[in-house]
Amino acid sequence: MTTYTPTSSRCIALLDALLEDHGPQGFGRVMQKLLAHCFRRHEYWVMNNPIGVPDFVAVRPGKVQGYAVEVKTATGRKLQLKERELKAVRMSDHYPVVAVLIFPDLNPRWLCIDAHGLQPGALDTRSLVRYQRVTIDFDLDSEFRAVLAEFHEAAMTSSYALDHALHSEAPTV
Amino acid sequence: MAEEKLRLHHIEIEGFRGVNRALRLDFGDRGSLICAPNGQGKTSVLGAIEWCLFGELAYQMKENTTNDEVVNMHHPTGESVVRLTLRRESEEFVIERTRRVGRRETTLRVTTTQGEVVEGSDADSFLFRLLGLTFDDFYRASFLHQESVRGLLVDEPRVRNEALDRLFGLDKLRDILASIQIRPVTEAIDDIRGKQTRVYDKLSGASQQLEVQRHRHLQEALAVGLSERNLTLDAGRALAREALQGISDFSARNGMAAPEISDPETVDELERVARRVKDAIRESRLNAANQSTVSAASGRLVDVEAMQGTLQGAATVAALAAAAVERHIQASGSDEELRQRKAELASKREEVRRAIGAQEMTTRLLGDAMSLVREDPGMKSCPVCNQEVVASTLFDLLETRMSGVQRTEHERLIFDLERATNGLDSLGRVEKERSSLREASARAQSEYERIVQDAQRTLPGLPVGSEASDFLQAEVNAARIELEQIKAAYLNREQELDAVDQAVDRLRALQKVVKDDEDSAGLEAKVSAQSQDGEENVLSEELNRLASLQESLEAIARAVQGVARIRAHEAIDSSRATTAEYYRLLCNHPYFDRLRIDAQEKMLAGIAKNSYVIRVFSSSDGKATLASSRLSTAQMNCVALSIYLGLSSVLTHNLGFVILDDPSQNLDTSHKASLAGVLSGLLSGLQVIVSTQDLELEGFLKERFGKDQVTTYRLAWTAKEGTSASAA
Repeated sequence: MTTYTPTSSRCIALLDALLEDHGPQGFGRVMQKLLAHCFRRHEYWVMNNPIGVPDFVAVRPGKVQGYAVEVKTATGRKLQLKERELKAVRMSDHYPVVAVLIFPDLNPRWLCIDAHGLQPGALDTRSLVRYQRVTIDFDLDSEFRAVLAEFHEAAMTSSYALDHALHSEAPTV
Repeated sequence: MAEEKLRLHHIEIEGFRGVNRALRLDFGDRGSLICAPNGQGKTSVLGAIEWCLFGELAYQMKENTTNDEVVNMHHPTGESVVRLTLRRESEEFVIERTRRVGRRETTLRVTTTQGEVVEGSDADSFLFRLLGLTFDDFYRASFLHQESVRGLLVDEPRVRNEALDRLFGLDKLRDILASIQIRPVTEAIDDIRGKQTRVYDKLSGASQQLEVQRHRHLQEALAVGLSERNLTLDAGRALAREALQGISDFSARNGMAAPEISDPETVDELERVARRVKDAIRESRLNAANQSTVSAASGRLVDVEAMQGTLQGAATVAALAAAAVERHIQASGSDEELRQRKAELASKREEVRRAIGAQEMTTRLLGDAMSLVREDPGMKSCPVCNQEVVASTLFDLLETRMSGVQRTEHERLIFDLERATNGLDSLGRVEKERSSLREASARAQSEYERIVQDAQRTLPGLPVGSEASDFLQAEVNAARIELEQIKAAYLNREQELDAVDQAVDRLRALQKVVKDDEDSAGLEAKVSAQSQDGEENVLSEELNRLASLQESLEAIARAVQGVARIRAHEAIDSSRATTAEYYRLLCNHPYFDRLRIDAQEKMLAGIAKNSYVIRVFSSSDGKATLASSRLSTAQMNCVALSIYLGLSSVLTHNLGFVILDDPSQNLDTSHKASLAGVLSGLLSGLQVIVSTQDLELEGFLKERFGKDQVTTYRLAWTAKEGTSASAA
């Protein structure tokens, strides 16, 4: 599904603009939507959780177990991981994943960490690479960059515009 | 029954610190007082006990080859020798420690009751077993150094905490904690992160600039009809081929040489092609302009139209001039009529002039007559005709004639003359005007004829007169048709060139976006190369190493501090009751009569350390306050003594003595009396050795100890002999 993949430097510029425009919290919500859309593009059935934890569940059609994903964007040095968030992904019937966007960084990327090995509290973003990671069955970073480039303008416009743009793309499933 | 403990029997000192010559002090079984003013060697004598037992001094200055803190520099052989005899019931142990000046190592020898001599490391082990305590515990249990007290009297919390740590035997742990330098590691981490941030900021800034540029270029590309999905090098090459084909076709159709431009392979070559095609378009336009007859046709049309205009203008001017002459004749009459009217007026004027002459003659005669009558008022006859006259009547008659008829006639004649003259002048002006109009008409006609002659040189067939205008109009129409045909051909070529030009514009717009993407990729490649081989990789590795080191150091610090915290709590809890009791006895504060010490943890330079809070309470109302903020220096000294005595009473070891070095600093009389009372209370179980320069304390101690229970020495010091002692 991936069409045009922007470079890291362009990805930085796009993410910088979103962070500056939306602030850390709004930026987190946008990233969550874009990440969920990456799974959607790869034929996952994605269910957003209305109560917020986990952020979404992605399951392949016909499969029982998918991923319960808690999305985190650590724009500072510390990443705050609440017990409620960890419990939510661990208690689900799916594989618990804490997806952390490593940004700002020279190479913005997602770290999909196995939530089993995480403890609640403030984690140093530098230390995240030491945790056990979950392998997603598609190139998440490339897909994310493509989705970011494609929906950046909508995301910069408004949350409604982004939702509209994401849903206007015909679902693959 | 409590086991008997080791007591000091006597000490022999030579060449140690302030003691130069051999000095022997025998300690009494109960109490010993070492009295001297400051600087006479009290601390040296007590320090000799400490050094002999443990080979080191707690408050020793930093030593080097020129500064020996142990050996007396004036000792003739440059050697310190301290021999201490300890006794326990029937046992006697002689401990001898020596050291040469400038050497670090000491020689230890222990001789037992049985004459057995133990030396070297065996002697150290033997001594440890014998004493039953470490060097640190010696300070907590047996030797109250004046420095230990002094630390508690300082306002600065850090120093107080250190002093308490020392009293609790935690100074080694504190030293370990102090040696764990987390801050430099943290600073190094911050420094690396700062560098990484700067690298990131540079990349981010460049990326944002590129993104802004790309967005602008993208808008330009969309504006020229390109699709964002087709902004690729391949699409650019197709566009370039289209532009090349267009300029080649145009050149072929217009008989020009086609430019030789190769197909582009790279993004930069797209721009090269665009530039070359643009150049070719410009050259084609220049050639077309040079070859075009538009300017000639246009010039001809302009000339004929100008000629037409000039001729029409000149004809109009000539006609207007002739019409003016005609209008003048109609208004003023023909030339003949003018001549006739002029002759009539001239005749009339001549006639009037003659009448005026006659009238003037009559007037003169009348005047002369009146003069004669006036001169001869009695005149009876006319001198001319001799006719009888009455002078007065005649005069009246003459005067009436003069002012009546004669004047009226004169005025009429003058009016007639003026009218004739004016009429002649008016006719003269009319004639002049007519002449001028005729001249203008002649000039206009002449100009028109000249213009016609000039036009005939350009247009030989140009007729003269009214046909000229039609002839010229036909010429203008022909020139216009020719010009329109030439323009149509020109526009056709321009459209072809415009089509190529637009293709080049699209090519350029596409090239800019593709170039931006290439620049972005280049930027990423540069960063990637740096992160793989360069500084970024080194920084990341260093950062991970330092982060790991930081975690390790923090873990060590937490572990050490954990021990320090537990030991501090143990020390405080074990001695709480006795310390409080000593405080009550020593301080005897009228209100705050209870003491409590609490240990907390406080972060200092990134490491948690023990921090102590000393509070005093009032038993009467339970009110509490910080000791340091409420108690005087003397009372704080009592607090220090209470803590020391409290701790020394609970520690288990084999020493049966306590040493207090100048314990009465800052104490007032009542506190000194209380201290003497407390120390005398210790005599039942311990040997008490006190050094003091305070005569008041000395008096209280002698009084409370009892004269037969105390051995007193007075020390004196000279530069040559060093410290000497005499029993008092």
